[in-house]
Amino acid sequence: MSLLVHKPGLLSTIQDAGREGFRKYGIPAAGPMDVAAARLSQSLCNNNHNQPFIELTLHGAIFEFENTAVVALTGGGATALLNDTPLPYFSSTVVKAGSILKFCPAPFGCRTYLSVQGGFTIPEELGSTATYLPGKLGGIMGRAIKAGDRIEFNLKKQIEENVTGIEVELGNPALYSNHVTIRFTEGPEWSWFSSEEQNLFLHTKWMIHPQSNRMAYQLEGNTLALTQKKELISTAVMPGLIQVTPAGFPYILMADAQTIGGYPRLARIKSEDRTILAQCRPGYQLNFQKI
Amino acid sequence: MSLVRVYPIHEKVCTVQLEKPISAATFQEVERIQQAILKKFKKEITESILCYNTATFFLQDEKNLNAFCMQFQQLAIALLSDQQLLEENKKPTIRIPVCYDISFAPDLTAVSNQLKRSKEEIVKLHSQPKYQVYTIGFVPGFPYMGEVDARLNLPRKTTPTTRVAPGSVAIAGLQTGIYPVEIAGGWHVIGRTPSRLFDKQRENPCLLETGDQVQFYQITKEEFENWNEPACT
Repeated sequence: MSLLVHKPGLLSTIQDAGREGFRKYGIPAAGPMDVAAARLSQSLCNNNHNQPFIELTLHGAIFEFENTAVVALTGGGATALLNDTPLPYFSSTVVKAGSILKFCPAPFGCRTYLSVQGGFTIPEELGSTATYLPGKLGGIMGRAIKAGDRIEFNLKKQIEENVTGIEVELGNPALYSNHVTIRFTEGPEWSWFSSEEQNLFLHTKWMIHPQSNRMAYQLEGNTLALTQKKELISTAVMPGLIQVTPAGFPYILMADAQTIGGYPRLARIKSEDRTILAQCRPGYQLNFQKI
Repeated sequence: MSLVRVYPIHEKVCTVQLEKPISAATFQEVERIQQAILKKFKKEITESILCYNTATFFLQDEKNLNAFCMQFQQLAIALLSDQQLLEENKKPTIRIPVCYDISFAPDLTAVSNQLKRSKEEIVKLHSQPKYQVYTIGFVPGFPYMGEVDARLNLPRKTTPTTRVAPGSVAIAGLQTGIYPVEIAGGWHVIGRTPSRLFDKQRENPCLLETGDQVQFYQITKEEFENWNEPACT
């Protein structure tokens, strides 16, 4: 059983819950940007959370189901058409063999999660199928999905008609607004910045720069200068930390962030709110709220 | 001021940081603290990484992070005040072949000009010391090693090279490293190793681990080209 990729869209990768245990080799967990949406797509398919699924970025992807499947879409950033008929997100549907699933532009959100019942059949690399592009690991030969790929899946269960229409509440503000608030606590180097700089961070309407990706989001709107010319000795970093470069630009580290970093860590995003960030596209406005 | 800082970097991750400059002694102290914490909290810790003057611990869950931070700090302080001499690093030294031939060392001439030292002298200064692997990062398997002889101290390139060949041995400041894969990089490439630093097929994907001691030795271009990697240890 397989899904044939006609068009991959902006960036589509195979992910699972992530690759744990290899950070000491410089390998981050990767996994979905929007953990909540990814889990939901798995639950809607009765999968466990570690089965491989596809993360799509914005619109453009066109897939053909060569065999019948039970499919769930969650997240946002696109609207889906199944054989030219709208296919709702946040529910699971039986998709008949030969169907074409197409992702068209939508005003909000950034990442769609596509799960199939039984999961995609992808070989593990270092204990996970999650694609980590900078390390050429996981997924389909360590790369993004491309046109012509045939992605196997394994539908084990008897398809029942009643799996469709499981409606779930929309909880992510970035799926219906381009201006969101992100909660944070002080980062390890918060005190390296003067109270003026800290206030600037708090009161700036930050914008997500186009050069943002699965590794990090760059923010524009102001620059933050260090009070003293201190240099941080490189140390462990994690998704959710905000680093400030010598040029004064804040970067929010995301799922594919390197395991170590050498820039001062101004703030630490509340983990839950990373799912909001995952659905923010370049141009979205961010406000930071201290907790 | 306390010499040890412990702070969270995530809801279930915290870092123990020694407020000391980069040195092999600092690294060994932090490694000792890491070992003691791992031993005492075996069940609660899932993963740990060392990096220069920090040890970072990944906990099973988010419960009691602050309590763990306090306990880690107490343990670290107790260990630091313990006057017992640090044991010598007992790990075997890993010998890594490097060919410094100009065809594998795109920056050697520029380095030689900038430092006003002959290529032979640079090779000698680089291959003589035993290096400590302070951490692995940047890309999978990239070892950050030190310290390089102060006579080879050069800042990073202002513009990184777009494609550095895999196996490239490079220097920057007082550090030396090896590029496991082809990638953009700002360090000065002065040689290349035929050894595979990272191989996801191997049970232990990285040739080097944080804490290892490394000794480079010079090989000729012919040896490089005929290199047959022995089974990895």
